[in-house]
Amino acid sequence: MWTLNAAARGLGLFPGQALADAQAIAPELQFADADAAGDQAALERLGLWGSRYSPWVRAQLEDDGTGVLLIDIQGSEHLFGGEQALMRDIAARLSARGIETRIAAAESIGAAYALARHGGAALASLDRAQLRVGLARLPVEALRIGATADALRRTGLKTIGDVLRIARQPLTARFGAPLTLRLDQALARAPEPLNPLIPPLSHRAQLLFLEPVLSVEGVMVAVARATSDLAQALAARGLGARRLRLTLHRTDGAAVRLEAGCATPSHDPAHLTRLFKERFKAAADETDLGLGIEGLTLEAQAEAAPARQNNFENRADDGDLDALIDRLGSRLTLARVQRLDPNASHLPERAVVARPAAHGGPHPAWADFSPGPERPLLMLPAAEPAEVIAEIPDGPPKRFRWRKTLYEAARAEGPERIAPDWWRLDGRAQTTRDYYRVEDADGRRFWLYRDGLFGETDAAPQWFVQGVFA
Amino acid sequence: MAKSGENSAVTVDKLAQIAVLRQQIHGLALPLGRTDRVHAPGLDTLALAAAQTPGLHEVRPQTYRDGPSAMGFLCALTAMAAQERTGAVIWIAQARGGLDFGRPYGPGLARSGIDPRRVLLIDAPDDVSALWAAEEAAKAGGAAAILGQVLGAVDLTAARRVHLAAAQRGVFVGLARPHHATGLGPALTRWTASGAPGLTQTLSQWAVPRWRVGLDRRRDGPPVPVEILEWDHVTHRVRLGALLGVSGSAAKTPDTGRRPVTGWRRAG
Repeated sequence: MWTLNAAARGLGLFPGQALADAQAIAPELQFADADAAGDQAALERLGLWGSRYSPWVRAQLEDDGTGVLLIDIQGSEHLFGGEQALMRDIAARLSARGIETRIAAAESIGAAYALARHGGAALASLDRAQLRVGLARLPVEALRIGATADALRRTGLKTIGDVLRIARQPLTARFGAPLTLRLDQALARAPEPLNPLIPPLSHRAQLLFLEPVLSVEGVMVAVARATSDLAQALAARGLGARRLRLTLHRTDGAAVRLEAGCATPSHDPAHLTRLFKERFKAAADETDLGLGIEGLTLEAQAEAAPARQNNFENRADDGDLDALIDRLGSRLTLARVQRLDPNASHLPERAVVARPAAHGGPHPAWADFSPGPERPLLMLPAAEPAEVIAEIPDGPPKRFRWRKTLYEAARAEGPERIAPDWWRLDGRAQTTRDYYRVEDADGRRFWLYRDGLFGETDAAPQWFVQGVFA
Repeated sequence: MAKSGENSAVTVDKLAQIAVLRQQIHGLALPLGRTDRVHAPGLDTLALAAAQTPGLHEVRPQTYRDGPSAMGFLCALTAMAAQERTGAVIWIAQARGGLDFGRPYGPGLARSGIDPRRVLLIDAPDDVSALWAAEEAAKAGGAAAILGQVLGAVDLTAARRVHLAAAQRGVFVGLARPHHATGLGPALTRWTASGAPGLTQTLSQWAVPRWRVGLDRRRDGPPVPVEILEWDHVTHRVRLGALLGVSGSAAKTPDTGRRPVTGWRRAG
């Protein structure tokens, strides 16, 4: 037996018992294989649920199958009517879902853990003054020290109080530094950071509803309220949201998460709300509201509101453009909204790169840009091989076959020789290319190149079509 | 590549000619649909008028292989539309691989009259998203002109929404559609474009994008048969392409067999 519910324990079954023995005692026993990965995933879902109390939540699965949820409630307990009320709220909500709980609140993670796991009470709390006394009666296992606890027991140290009576130095010398560290952490003498499941963003607004909200429209009304709260707070500090994360808390304990980004930090509530409208549309299939939403959390990663950067010509309508980039990006993803940037490379396919427009305005290097030699309007994603008939060694193509179509060259021009970027060491780009502009009898124009020179290798160099002219 | 030299006298001549033509164009630039003139305006004038008329416009290639030419002509319309406005040129592309002709190339855009600095390139995953993006861009302001690519059948409601948004905000939206596209959309004008051979063997001709363009459909006006249009780098307008001086193997080919000069596809 791995783990048991309260009813089974009431019948005298215990973890570690053989299944056959257990069935002898309780023939009606229902059992299933233990699923550690499933437990872990379920616990993480519970951790997301726990983020309704505080953004600082961590979930960890103990060796014996007990799930531990750590929530840093400092600063948020008053939202729920104080520490005691908050603990009762957690207990009530979890027991309604059939989850047995032991809940403890204390000054340190170590103390709360010790109290919850080994204190014996369903609800417990310790304030700073009682910390030492409260912990003293708990067994040494409560210190999260693994096998060291057995070693302590063998020397007759059974409770934390016993350990505390021993001088520090011999204790460290005998049992190692981890023990004293854990001891200090439990007594809140050493800091212990809580690495949250999902790192919280810098600003947040939270709404809890009296009645579950069932429709997307209803949720949007709430989102509008939350964004306006958040936007006000940001605007007051001269900040704007750069990244937004919306967490919807479902009544069944699941959490739905939506993220949106802004090209420039914004504290315009209408704009921020619209972003989530687009996200809802784009993710309509994945956003399952379940049996209703009982609350939501809106978090924002804030940055200083902009001295405008994303402008083309410093006009008033640049703000519109930023808003457009965000809106398109929130539905299509920001990576799909791009700007073309020049790049220092001779190779045509590297001379221009597409870069997400959300990263800022046009590249300064365009200022020195001149159209230069003839270049095609459209470039193929990758140069495509073509069968070419041309005079050896460097005549222009006379006839070529590309995409299963034969083209007769009526006019051709070239070569324009483009040497490789010798400072790059990646294989294929190391040959010299001769580019030709070729027009067929109907006026279609192509940009072809011969990859390498005749006589360089035994094989004849391959031809490629790289782009087409307008 | 060397191209001046013996051409200098011709250049002076040409500049004078351009000045005259430019005046004519300014005189002729009237709203689409006004047909009360005795002399029907030329296709170049109609193209300029289309570019200056906010709303939805369509360009299709004559055949699959004319895709780049259609894109080039659409680019010319977009460039004319964006010229006197501030803001971005929104280019909505669809990278569905396979048989398309690739993405716009910065230096090539500059050659076709569009400043690559102004371009906001949107990579739409499908037609629905492409039309949605066009509508959003039209509504947002901050767009000087919008160029979009639709690969399949156009959803009429979505297209109408794009048109209305564009007309309302005074933005030109040009849609590139495939050669096999059918259906009567809400577009104000529908053009067909294909390649047009260069005139001479001289290299300077390379600098001039040329197309055979027909106006298949416009509101309140008859279709206009195919003519040759070219991009004019000086005025940044399209102009009627010269027809004479054809030389070399290209001489054999203007409008043969494949397409009668007087025949144009009826809209729809």
